[in-house]
Amino acid sequence: MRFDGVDPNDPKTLIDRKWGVTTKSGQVRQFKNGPLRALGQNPDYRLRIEVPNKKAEADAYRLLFKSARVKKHPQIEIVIVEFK
Amino acid sequence: MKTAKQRYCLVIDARADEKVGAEQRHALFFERIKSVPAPWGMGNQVVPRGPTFRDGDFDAIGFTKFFGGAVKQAMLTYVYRRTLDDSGDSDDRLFIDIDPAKSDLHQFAQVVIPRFIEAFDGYRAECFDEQFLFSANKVREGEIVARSPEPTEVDNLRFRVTEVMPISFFDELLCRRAFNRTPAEVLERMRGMVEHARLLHGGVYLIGSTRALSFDEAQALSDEMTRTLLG
Repeated sequence: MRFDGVDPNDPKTLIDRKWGVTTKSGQVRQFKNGPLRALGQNPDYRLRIEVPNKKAEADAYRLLFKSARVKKHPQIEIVIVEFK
Repeated sequence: MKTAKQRYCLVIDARADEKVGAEQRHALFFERIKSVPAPWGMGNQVVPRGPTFRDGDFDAIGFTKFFGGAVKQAMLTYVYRRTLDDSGDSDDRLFIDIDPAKSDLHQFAQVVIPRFIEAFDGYRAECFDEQFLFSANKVREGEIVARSPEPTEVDNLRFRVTEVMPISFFDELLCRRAFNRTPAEVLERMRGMVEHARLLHGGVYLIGSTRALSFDEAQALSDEMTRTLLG
């Protein structure tokens, strides 16, 4: 698995920066077979999904629900950040 | 001012079983919905492709165009029949997102969802305003009865219900595991406080309302249903 970065304050928090998120079947499949599987195998790690705006944030919650069937995941947080 | 359109999410969870292959469940589902009234049945449509598991132990198949109209997204997900365990991770799922303003909610709740639960052999189903997804991650203000605790691990959907959605189905095993009651006992407990409740597919089916509720109304209804069953 490759991620976009690691939180400088917490090496066990991985960063996945997404300009846009969809909930199409391909992305749901990739997210489930990739990051979610990796987090399941490494329960002490966390994933921070960084998105640029509220629309992408909503889409990220939809992606999380369709791939993990949870409204909230203990290892995943979704945050809006300013992309440079 | 333009307001965001509402979107209702239906999800049906079905225990995957090595005796029933993913391809077989897929074919059976579409066979069984043949007689569901339009636009929710098969009509003259071609059955969407079945699961292939080329990328891993999980496959997702989009079939939004199959229904068209009020359906914003339709997807089936399947797990590979290997190393299955008694957890929600080993479930197949049906997701359908609809625009409630363009849908006959009464028909959807009373006819379509029950038929889909039976066709997919679901053990759990929920239909809710997708604002529930977003609000779960925000701090809710005021006194609420059924606050979801901060999760420390992913809830096992086959054992636990933390929040009862406005339209819900629980099969017998889940009723016993989550509520320590039979479906008939759940039905009796919910009678009078929901618009409709009946036994279905060996479980209990609850319709809080078939009206397009505002999110605040839906949340209040969900809180009351949750308190009645879990409080």
